Amino acid sequence: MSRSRTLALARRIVLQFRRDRRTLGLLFVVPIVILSLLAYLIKLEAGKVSVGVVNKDGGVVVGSSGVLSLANGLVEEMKSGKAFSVTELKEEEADSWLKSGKGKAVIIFPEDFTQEFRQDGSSNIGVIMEGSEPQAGAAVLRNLGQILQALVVQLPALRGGMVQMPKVEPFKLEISYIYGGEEYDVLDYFAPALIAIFALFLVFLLTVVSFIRERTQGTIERLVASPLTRPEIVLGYMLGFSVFAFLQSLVILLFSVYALRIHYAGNLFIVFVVVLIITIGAVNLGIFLSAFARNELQAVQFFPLVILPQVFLSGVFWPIKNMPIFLQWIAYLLPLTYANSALREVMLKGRGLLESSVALNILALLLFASVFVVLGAFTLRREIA
Amino acid sequence: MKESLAVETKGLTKRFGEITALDGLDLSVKGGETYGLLGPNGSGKTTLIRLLLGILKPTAGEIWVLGKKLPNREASPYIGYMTQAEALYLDLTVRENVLFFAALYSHPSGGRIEEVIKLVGLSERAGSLISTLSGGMKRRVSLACALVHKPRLLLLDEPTVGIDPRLRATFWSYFRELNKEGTTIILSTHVMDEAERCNRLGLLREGRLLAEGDVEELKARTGKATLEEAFLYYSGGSLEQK
Repeated sequence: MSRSRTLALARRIVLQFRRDRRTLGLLFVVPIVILSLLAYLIKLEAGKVSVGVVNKDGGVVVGSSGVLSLANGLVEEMKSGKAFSVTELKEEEADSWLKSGKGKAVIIFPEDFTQEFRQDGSSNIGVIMEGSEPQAGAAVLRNLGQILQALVVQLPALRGGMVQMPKVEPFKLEISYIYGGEEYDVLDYFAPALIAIFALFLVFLLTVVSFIRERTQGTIERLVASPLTRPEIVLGYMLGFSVFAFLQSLVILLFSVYALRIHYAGNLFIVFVVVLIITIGAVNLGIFLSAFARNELQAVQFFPLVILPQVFLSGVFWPIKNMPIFLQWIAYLLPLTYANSALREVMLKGRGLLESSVALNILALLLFASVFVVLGAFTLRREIA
Repeated sequence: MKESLAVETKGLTKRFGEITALDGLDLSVKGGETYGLLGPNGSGKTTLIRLLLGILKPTAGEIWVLGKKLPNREASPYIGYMTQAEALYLDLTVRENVLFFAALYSHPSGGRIEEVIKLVGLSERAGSLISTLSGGMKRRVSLACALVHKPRLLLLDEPTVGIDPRLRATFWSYFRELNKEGTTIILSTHVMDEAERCNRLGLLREGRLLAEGDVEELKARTGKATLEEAFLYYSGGSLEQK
């Protein structure tokens, strides 16, 4: 083995990559960006969960000092703590308040809340869950549990013996759901996002790779010399890949529904419409970005840049509302954010295509798609000039 | 332009930034002839072909192809193009490739596809993937793809580079047949032996047309015995010499 030959080879590789800014970026900049994002997101305070409170508790009259209401104390506790941001509601408002997406749960203290507790040492609390975000629901119950637990510990001291010693389960939560139910779990929450992620990135990957093949094999030269027009090229690519995207989302859906047994409330047809729009955008993004890569390796180098930020920031794992403002801005610039949101509205809440929460997201996706169509056509133009 | 001309350029100039690839080229190619662009690498042959195809836009000058003034794309359905590299889809079969290019030119008749595959002698391999073919076979498929729509003008960028003499002879017999049917062929080459077979030649160097004429004419004009010597005579002299 020749040391000088080996070193010459090593030196050549260093020299080559020193000039390759794309690879240098991949090696050094991307990990820093991704790690910073992760650090931000993981340390992220869960943020206050928005809940509504309906307090009907009449309390009990205690001697001459007036009325004691346990519910009032609990509401004060919730307001002063870090876990909740509390909105007081009337009972009839609760449903529409949740459906408008202003909060994750409404907690209802019945009229005889304190009374019951005084007599039996146990009382009921009603909880209406919005239900489309299992993590938020779990957070509501966990934090509410902590506040109730603290109350139980303080009770004997509170107004000495005014109330009975609490039973093993002093407060019973009667939970009902607007969307889904207890059976909705984290997987149900992730399934729509996964469909969006796979549709976007698989199609993107295929487009980039096959466009680069067109270039390296020289076939693009024949295409542009033929009567084929640029819109035809873009459209043809789009249609070709839509076939795969449709099949893929069908497989993912069937697998999720029948094998993973996820729950969904929506119309599968709308899911397909959304997937189609994602595909259109992805094809054109692929055509556009493939202009900046000369071979497959360079294309692969785009993936951390294009894919990872979208996976982390588009609300797949962490709710966008809990992110710092500048990350929220980035999140709203990512197509996956809208794809996720649209698919979740449809699959978890059973919303229709024309309801504003779905339609606005689809509109945003269409906007992205048309920007990418223009960019894609522009890079094809460059091909020819 | 005159009716009998398949291609005509006037003052055709193409610059890529600082580099001048073609410099005021006046070219005329008659219908039904085989015109050879002879020149060393980098003399502007491929650039000229790409300009005629409308893939590139000229910096200055005018181009007529089949009676249409570019950048009008009306002529493109009647042009066949064989690139320098094979430019085929490696993961498709011979038939699938030919069918695809036929479809781009709205010429997807099954009979014609088998006919053209037979013409290049690949009927038995029609179902084979391109990636399993030899280099010579790929060239033949590439020619088949350029011919499938019966073009009136065939542009061939170094069509017989890297193929064996027997296949080269076969290719030339196709070209003769096509000329007889009225197809005009423009091909680029840097091989003298190939250039000798063309009806007319344009000697290209550094983006300029040094001389034009048939082989005998060029030899006679320079008083040289071979085309190679004639070519060297022109390219050795100053560029103004014409």
